Amino acid sequence: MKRRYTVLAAVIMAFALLVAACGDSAEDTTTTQAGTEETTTTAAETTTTTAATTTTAAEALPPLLVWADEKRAPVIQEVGAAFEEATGVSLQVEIVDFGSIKDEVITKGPAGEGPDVFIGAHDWVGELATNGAVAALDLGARASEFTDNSLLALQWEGAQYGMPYATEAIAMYYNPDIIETAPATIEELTTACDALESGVECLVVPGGNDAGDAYHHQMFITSFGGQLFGFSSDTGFDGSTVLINSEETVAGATLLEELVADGYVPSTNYGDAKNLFVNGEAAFWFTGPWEVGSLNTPADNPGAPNWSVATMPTVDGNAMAPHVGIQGFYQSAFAQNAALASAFLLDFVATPEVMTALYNADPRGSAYKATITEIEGDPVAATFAASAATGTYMPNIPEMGSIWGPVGDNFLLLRNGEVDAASAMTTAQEQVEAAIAGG
Amino acid sequence: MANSLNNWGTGFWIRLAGLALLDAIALYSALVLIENESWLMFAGLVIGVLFINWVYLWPRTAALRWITPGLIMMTVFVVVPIIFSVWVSLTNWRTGNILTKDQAIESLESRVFVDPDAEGELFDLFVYTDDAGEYRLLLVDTETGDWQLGEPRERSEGVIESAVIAEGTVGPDWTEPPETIDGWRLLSQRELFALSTQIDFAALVIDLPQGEAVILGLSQARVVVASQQYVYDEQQDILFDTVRDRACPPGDTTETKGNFVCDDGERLSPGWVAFVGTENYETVFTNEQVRGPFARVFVWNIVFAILSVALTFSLGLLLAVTLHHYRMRGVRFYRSVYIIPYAIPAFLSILVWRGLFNANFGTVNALLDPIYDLLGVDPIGWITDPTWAKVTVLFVNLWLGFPYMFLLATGALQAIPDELLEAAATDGATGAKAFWRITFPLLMVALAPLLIGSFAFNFNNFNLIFLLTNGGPPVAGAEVPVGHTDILISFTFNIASSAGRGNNFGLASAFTMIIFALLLLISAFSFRFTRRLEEIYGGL
Repeated sequence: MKRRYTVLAAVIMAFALLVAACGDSAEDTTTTQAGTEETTTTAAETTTTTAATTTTAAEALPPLLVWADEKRAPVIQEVGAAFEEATGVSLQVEIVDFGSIKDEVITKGPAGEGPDVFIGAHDWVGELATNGAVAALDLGARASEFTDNSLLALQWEGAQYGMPYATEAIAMYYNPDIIETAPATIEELTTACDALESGVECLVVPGGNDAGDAYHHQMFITSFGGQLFGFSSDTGFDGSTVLINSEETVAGATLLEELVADGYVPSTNYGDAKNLFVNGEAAFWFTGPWEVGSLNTPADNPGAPNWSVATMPTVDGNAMAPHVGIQGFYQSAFAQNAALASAFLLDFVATPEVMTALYNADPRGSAYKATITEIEGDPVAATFAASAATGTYMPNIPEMGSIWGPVGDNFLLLRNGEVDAASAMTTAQEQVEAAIAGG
Repeated sequence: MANSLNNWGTGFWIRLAGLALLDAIALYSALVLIENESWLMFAGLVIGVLFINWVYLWPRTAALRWITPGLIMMTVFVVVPIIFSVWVSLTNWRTGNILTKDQAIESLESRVFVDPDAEGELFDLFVYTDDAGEYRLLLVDTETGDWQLGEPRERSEGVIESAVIAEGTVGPDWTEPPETIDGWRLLSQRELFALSTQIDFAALVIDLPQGEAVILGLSQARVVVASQQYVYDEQQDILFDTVRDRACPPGDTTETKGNFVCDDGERLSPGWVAFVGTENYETVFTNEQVRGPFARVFVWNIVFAILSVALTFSLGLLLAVTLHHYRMRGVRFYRSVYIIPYAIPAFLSILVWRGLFNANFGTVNALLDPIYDLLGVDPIGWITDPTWAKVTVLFVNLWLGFPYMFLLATGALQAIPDELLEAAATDGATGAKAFWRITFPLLMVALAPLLIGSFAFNFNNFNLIFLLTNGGPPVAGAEVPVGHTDILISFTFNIASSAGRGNNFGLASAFTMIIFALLLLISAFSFRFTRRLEEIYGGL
């Protein structure tokens, strides 16, 4: 038995040694990680500048962590060199898929594993703020450098929750080989389509066939002045007032119903619509600026047609206003150093150079006035900007989550000719109200 | 004879080294857990590690040593997730209630109140220091160049009377602030950022004659109505709103549990994760949203699961029996081919099938086009027609599932001794008769439990439904969004994750528990049935 005790003592000794070793090696790895991050993230040259002769504890500052998608990340990373030179704080940009940033921030932020700053869509603001995942960001004197609409979109219960950089909205693509001049009204559009040869579809809109899509039908909601929710410019959208079965909205849905019945709008899902247009088999296509890239890249679409883009047609003098989406920078409520994160956004990102670089990385229309002036000459950007100017920003309240399913489903049934416009809108209204009440 | 496990041989030392390593890691983890105050995990770790040490050090527990790794795996991967799901189903964890109470209070206490109609004056901000390491903030009016140097305080501290210690102007055309003021020296940007890691600038306030000024980033300041709108009183457990002068105690009704609710009825967010008991379960059974379409979804769910198992098993068995025949040639080739659907990741092949079955542009309808023309009928909406969508779902599931059944049946067939069939043949039972009377019952003894497993799997086959039809086509005029091919899990996913005001993890977990209970009932019933099978044929 004695021997067993000596063995136990040996085991305990081994713990102690190993723990000591573990502690050391853990520290080692974190320092080496920080070291590699610095060298990889800061374009290397910064260390050679000898400007920092004043001795500060700058080397010990933890890096600022930014989450961005693969298009925006390189642009933000370029700010890193200037940021570190001026402040001694290194910048670490992690690439996160745009669609998953919101959920990741919500789950990882409270656990202390989230970013300090992240990019996102404006319609996340309600959910992010309700969850306490973002911090209010007073833009101060910088606010006047952004468009009013884009700032408003990032407000929630009276406070500003982000700094916008891009806007996007659906416009009307058309094929100039088939259609000579872009129609200004929906009547002109159908007249132009009457002259099409058979086998060419008139207007393709995602959201038919087998997949509902509320986003791509917003222009029919608004074509006679309808809205999804009550809205006032002071308090924003009101989630308790659902307006889907209003007279105006039903009139808009009836317009779509007639277009479908007369064969102008085939039942197409997103992929179908895209295929028809890029194969030159459709004259018009309602979708957003994100498809410009694929139309311009013959490698992706060898048969890509000539294309042009125009603002949405009008109906009875009313614009078919699409949803306007805004993208912006958010500051996490769990940022390690809130002042530093805000300073990064206000003093290093809100500059004409960075804002224009963000536009160039993914041309979607800018929210920054100086960049808008700079890109005025680009007709495509101007068209999408004009289209965005006709609409209001997409509702940023959490109740918007109840819209997508019911509105998409009922427009799908309408597109497939299974229900009429009035009953589609009535059912959608009931389903949305039930979802909001029950959720 | 000595137990070999307790000898002083190599095995013992390897075991000891392994334990030492484990304990060292555990000790290190324990320190991290104590630092993070995760007491529950700490307790779990301590109990687990003590158990492992006991099992592998004491001689009496030799038998336990073999099962311990399995026990640990089961605890970590099965028991803990189930306990966690049960716990979540008893909370209000949903959009707006994801933080801890402390985090929610901290978030509310950090709110600054700015009157949206009269936003306060803006200044440019600079920071000055002296030899003693004290610092003061300089606020410069951008337009006029008038400046004030003041002593800041933490937001939660009391007002400093006459915090401004110096005033002056740099004129309207100013570009730079003064280098020094009364012995205070301007900090460089680099020094300022370094300082920002030691001082929480976001919580600093300067008391100007015009009111409190808060700091925006590190370069601007704004005069606000209140630098801290909400103050939490721990003794009374009440949050006070200093701007609108109201008290906000924690809510106590179903709707408001986990949020501060003010006197005037306003519910403040963010809230926190609160224990709500059986409320989520009550919602499941009383909510019209769920009860309305439940019968429709449940019936299709059962039909879908039974038909999926029946179809895949029939096809798999047919192919296995065919290939099992002694005169069959090229067995290996066929087997490889039949396994292909099993080898392709399902999420990929489901999406491919979705494309093939596209009503307007899919390959299936393109191939069938001459037949449609011949018969003079409209093309079939494989995914858009309510009835055909169900057929499509079952067909794709058949394609995905038969290789599994084929493999099982092949294995089971090879385990049936040939003598049995030879004996049967002697007695005059051949062909179909021998199959149904001898082979099939014997197969069922081995395969019935697996068929029940397959049923349980298909009952919750979320991937297939979500990716192939997403529950669609939608049911026209339904009171809540529901599709013709929705099964319980996809239907509840929509309710719990995308309806109302965002996610509702608590409700989703309650649904999961109920589906789990349903499955448990069905499986228990089926296993009783298979036990009878075993009693009859097991002896053979």
